[in-house]
Amino acid sequence: MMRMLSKFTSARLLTVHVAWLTAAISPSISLSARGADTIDDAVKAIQAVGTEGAGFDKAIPAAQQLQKLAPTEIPRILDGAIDANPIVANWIRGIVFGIAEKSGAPPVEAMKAYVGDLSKNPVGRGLAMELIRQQDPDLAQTMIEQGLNDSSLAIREMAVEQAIVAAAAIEKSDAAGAIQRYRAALDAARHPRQLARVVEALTKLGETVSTPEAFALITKWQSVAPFDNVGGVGFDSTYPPEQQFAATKSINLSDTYPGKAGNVQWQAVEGSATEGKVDLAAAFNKEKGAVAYLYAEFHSPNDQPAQARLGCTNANKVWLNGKEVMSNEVYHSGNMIDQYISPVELKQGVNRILLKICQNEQEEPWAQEWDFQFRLTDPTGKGLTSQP
Amino acid sequence: MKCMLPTRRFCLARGAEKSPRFPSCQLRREVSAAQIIMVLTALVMVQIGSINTWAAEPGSWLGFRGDGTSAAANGPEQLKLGDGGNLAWTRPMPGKSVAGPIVVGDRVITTSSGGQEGEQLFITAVRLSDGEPLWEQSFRATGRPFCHPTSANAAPSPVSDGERVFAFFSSNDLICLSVDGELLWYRGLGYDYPKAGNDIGMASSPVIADGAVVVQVESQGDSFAIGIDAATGKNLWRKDRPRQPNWSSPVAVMRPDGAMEIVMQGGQSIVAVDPRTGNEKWTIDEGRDSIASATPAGDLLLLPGDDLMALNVGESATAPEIAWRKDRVSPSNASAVVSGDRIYSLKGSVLIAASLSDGEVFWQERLSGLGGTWATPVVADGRIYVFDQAGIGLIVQDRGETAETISQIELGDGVLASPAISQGRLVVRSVNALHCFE
Repeated sequence: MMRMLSKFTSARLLTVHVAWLTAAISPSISLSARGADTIDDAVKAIQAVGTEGAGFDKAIPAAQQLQKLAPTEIPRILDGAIDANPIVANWIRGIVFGIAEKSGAPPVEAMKAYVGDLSKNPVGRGLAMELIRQQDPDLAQTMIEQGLNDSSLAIREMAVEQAIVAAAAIEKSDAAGAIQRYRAALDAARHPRQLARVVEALTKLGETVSTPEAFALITKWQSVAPFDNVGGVGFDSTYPPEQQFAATKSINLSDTYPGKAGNVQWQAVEGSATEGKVDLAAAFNKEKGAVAYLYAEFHSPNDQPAQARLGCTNANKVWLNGKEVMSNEVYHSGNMIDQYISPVELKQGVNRILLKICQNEQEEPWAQEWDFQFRLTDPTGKGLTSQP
Repeated sequence: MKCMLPTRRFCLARGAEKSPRFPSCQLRREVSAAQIIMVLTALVMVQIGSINTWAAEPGSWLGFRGDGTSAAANGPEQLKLGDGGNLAWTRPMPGKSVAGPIVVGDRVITTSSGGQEGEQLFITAVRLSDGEPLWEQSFRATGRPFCHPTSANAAPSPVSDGERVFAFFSSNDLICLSVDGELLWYRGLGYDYPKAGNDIGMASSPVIADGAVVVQVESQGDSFAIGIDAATGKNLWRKDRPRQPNWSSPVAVMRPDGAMEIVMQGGQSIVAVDPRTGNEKWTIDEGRDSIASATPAGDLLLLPGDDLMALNVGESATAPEIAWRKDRVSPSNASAVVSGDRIYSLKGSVLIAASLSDGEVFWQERLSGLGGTWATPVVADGRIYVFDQAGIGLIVQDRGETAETISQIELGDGVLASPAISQGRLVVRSVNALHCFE
């Protein structure tokens, strides 16, 4: 070995091995050289993250670089959450909290200013509020109290939660005050679980408030059933109501169709007064292996972006104005309000809604439900009511 | 385990490069060229060697059921609270969990979910020795967070390769952090494949092999298994799976020639695939359990179902053959546990010990006081640690032909997660807290 070494200078050997080492550990020492030269460039790399790992080549070194920054740089990273999809929002969250864990929290005053600047993006403001809450819970509580109508859904949700907790704390000593707080929370709440808790609390306090009203559930429907779904054939079968709806964007409620066991006609069904749940098993004699169609009209005062929200333990499809907007071939796997959400566009005037709700043939006691709850909301989750 | 030492050296060396106590010019002056060559060569070899191998400290418990068997060398001799007890520490967690904790060196890492319906995701690290907080990261679910009230979005156990932590949730969010809590990458599989998931809750835990993180996402909607490159976060492969709910976890199996396979069981078949390509290596057209998972045990692979099927894992070119099968030994919700030449199988509150070589039963014991069970037991030195969903914990001592309950505890918080055993300590994740017995 020493003889071999004598044939080379130490310097040459060092050069070779340093080059070899550099190549081997390059991912950890050449981040800036690979693209993310500035904070803004690094943030842009994070914003460019897409589905299935798209953009990760640049985003991974950018995230490492950003997490080395001082906490004072966090506002610049929060700015990157503008128009962020949920994936990008989580990258930014992880980076921001990564910095806070490693290098300490950002100055509270800076975060307070960020939250107070309504021109900042809602996701970033929500993260800033979380950072304040970590450092100064009392200040956060005071700020959150003002947030019942905040444009940041995260801050609004914190404010509603705070209002619910505050109301619950005074239920026995000041029922009127509690009701007032719950009512404020009811107006502000967008999350279905918070809405449900407020409705339950108000009901216990003797207030007249119903789930269908609070959620703006559509409870009056025309229905036609049963069509065949033995062996699951009905989900992809285009029975006459959906053929007609796709072709004409409307339904003729006087039509008669060949059903599973003879002709079937449209008939009115209504959701329960307590939950707004439409019970198809009760309406159609607990038929198994069956498809039901439901039809309703919704009047919108203007063109507007909205969401179709369905709670249903059965396989389902939803059409709006002739266009399919939702499809889930899932049976007996949970049942809750807003289980499935799809973005839709409401047009001014009459909007026509067709649902297809399929029951399978499972015999277990927990597989007998054939029902649904449906509503339209604005993009934040506020229930919309038909305005003829 | 074998590459633990070199990897630690590598980390120390990288730190030394940046340290003002060892400026590079000083280094060049004080050591010979030959010494530098040796050091550099060692560093490079370690870098290459760490690409495909696990690099954790001894005694680490890196995933669901540790190395897959649920067994460790040493564990506590009792479970006792209060004076004279052996509870080293307990720490409340930021949310619910039915996911098992893991241990990487002196870090216990656990996942939790909170918020209105489990949409807040937490990954928390505390020190094994004293329970002190090390770091915590939080994310928001981008897939379906819904689950049965007894479960949680934090249901799959995290897994680590010793350098990175991969935290997976029922909502199909997959988060890759360094063991020090730094975000490396994040995937929203429920965002990429929006119909994935079921609203009772998913629970299949990820596994790592050959630098690939493999998860089974099986539901009535989008249903698939996926291999993701641990370093880059990108898909290596994605394979359609039956559109049925499946909560069992994939297992990594090393064949005698060193070839790695990922074995996935479900209601229709058993399939082994290459971790890096997803290419099918072998299949058995027989449905197995969709809750309990397979257990690798030396030359055998134990697959629960209507019976417990033991496959003889031969050379990688051949499909395994059935060694034996016993209907009495198959577990219910928990997976089978293997220690030495023994299998332990939990059926509700009944614990069964059987021979690994032929499945013959040694003893069967109804565990008095134990209620409904979901957590896979763990075992060390003939002591089986069993917990129920009400938080009752037992140590059952295997005495050969009989069993004896030697210790009992009531945590006051349900346990649905399989514990971890590391460095002689038992780490129990109850729904709302983390506990360590020494």
